[in-house]
Amino acid sequence: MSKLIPTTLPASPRLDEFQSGRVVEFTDWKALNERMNYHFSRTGAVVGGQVFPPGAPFETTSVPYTVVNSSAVDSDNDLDDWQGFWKFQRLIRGSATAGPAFEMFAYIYGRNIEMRISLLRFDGGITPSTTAASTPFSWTTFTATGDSEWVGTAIEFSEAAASENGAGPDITDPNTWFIAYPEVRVSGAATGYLWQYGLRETKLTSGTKLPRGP
Amino acid sequence: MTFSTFTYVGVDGECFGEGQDDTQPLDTWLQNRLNENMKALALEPRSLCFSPVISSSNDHTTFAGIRPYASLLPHTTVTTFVQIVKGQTGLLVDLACHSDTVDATDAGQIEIRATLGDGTRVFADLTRTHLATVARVGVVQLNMVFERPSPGTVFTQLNIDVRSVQGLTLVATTIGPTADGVAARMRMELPNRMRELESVPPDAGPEYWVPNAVGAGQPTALSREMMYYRTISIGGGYTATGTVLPRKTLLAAEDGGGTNGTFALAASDVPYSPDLLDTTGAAEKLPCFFLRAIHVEPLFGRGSLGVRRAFLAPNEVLGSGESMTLVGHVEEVLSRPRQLLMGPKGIKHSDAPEYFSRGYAMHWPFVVGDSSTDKDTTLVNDSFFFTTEDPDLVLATWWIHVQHGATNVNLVDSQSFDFALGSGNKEKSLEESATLAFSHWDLTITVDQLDNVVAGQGSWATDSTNYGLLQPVEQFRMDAANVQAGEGWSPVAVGLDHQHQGSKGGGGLEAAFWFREGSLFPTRNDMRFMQHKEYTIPISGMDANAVLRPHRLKINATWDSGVGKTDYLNPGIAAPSASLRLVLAGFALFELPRNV
Repeated sequence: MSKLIPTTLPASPRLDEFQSGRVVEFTDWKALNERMNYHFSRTGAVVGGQVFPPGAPFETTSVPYTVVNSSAVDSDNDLDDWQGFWKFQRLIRGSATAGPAFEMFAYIYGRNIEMRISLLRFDGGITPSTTAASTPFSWTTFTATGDSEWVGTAIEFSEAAASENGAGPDITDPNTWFIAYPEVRVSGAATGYLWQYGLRETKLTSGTKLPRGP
Repeated sequence: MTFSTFTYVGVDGECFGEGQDDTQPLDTWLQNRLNENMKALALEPRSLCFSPVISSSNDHTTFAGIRPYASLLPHTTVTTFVQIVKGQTGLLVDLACHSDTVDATDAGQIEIRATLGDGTRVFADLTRTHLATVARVGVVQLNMVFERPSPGTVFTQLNIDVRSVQGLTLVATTIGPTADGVAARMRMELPNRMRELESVPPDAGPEYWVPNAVGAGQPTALSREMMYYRTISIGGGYTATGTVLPRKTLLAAEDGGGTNGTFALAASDVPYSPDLLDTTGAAEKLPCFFLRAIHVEPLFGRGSLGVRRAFLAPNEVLGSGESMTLVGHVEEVLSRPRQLLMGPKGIKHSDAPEYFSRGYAMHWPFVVGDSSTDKDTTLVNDSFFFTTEDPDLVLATWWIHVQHGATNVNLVDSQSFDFALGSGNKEKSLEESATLAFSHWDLTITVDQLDNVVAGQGSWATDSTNYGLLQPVEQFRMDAANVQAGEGWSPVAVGLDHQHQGSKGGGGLEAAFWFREGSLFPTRNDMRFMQHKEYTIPISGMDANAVLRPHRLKINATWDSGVGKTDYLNPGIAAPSASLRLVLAGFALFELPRNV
């Protein structure tokens, strides 16, 4: 038994199952509860991403992280042409501390490429770091290796992470803006390719991340 | 404000008697826990963040490459759509933005207004903001509170209007009091002007180009000299030396009536505006507005769906009507439409076509009316997620039809067009003009998803074959009747600035368009040039529900002149095409859950 976030949306119980005079089956209550968990697991801010033109993927041979597109077809489209500004909309239960946490969900479609996404805290009127990788609020990496494929990951950061970069509003301030700054480097081959990536607020995959009561 | 999801608590399945033989009634805590979770979901805002393309930079201490806007007239810098769902009590619009004067002094005051609806139903907050002296971005919140919760769900227009506040930084001139009125009037008429020709360095070009603070060549950073006024000589004994550029001067330049420098202008040509009289006799530097990102957040509150009046007594042993209500509320909240995208993002400066300042990102993608070669043009190529199984996607768009030439009004094609119709064509019926009725824009909307694990590099076309959805071709008909009417969606009628200045044939349509690139002027009723089109894209069989991989929205457009079509009254004459452009000024994508 546990708190469950189903992978697909359970069907809604019929209304007549709840009519007076009838015993409400636990399966109906359970479905109702899991429908709400499912919905909760996919809410939050929508941010966006980038798509590189058909036939002209982002390419790099760089070993250090880079934002520069070395494609001979369309080298003008760099990763930092677009940087998603966002505000998180909901808190989850952090996996490490069980305290409040944010979670970002990222997906890339690439080949032989490793992406690092830095989150810069952008407080109103305060300038974030000029170099994304130097003092990111939080960052993570994930790699697509071999054939072209989708690779996704969740980036969780909590109160503890929030305090790493000095003063600023705490994680529970819903008016804090963040900047998602993606960089890539080649992984396992001479050239890495990136066709698309997308960012959104989390898609919870485990019921253990559902908020707990006080 | 707090996170609404503080109140959501995951409930263990055992609470409902799972695994037990007999179903148990819910106790007070559990019933109210479900009610509270329902309330949290009903308050969940599902916000959208939109960030336009900027010039490549991770240096957030500057605003280099971010398109500046400056005008004394209110002008719309963002026109898009938002959803107002049933029970919604307001809309919060956050702008990450910056304002600064042309010389980076501490005087960058900007008025900002967010407007919803078509003008007859306006929710607006007027916020004056005076952001900091240093080059950095601040956040302005526009809180739009509805009089009552929305009774239904609608998609409506969202405009962000800005206006540069005058009277801050002054430049000494020799303008007298009366001429000040003239100058003030002139400044009122100044739209957002920015243009730069590769062949004409800004400093050497006509004075309404964006001057280049860097010097000859292209700017590598934002030109802070934007909106300086230059020399003008005013008739009737008034002379201004140094800082004013009136609209009349601009017209003279566009019409070839003068060159860079001084132009004669009768004071009577410009109405006196006592409310704008600046007795100090000075021209001003206009503050510029730089938009970095928008956050749109629907607000819910008391009166919204599912927000209970009070907690309820526990159910009796058997079920109750209250539980039925909960079932319905869950379904209704799950059915709420969600906004997935806002745009267009814009085009990086080095990718932008000719006649645009290369220092900034271009906001309006467009396709040229050239069917002679492969001119199929991608206007939108964005990554997005949808979160329910096989939803309907609704794409709402704003289009502008434009005709302009390279340097002057290109009426040659139009004249050929007239010839084809014969003289007196204004009286020709559409049927008689049918030989041209095939000219149109073909619009293709694609939603697709890359297949997972494809050997080699593959390509979009190959990888997405199994997942692609192609919207049937949409045709914007540009028929002879429309062209001759001079209204509606005639491209000739949509010269933007050209229309306002009333100098048809005087040149400058191309320039006028670029002056307006990315901004529209409500006071000039620019919205009448916008064509609203909405498309529904039913999704089926895509992999979204369990895995939640992103999809792609692609909008392509191309021009079909109609030449060679033989199945309809033997057409054979091309409508004017080379100077035609179809411009995407705004769009939004929504998800309408179908299977909840």
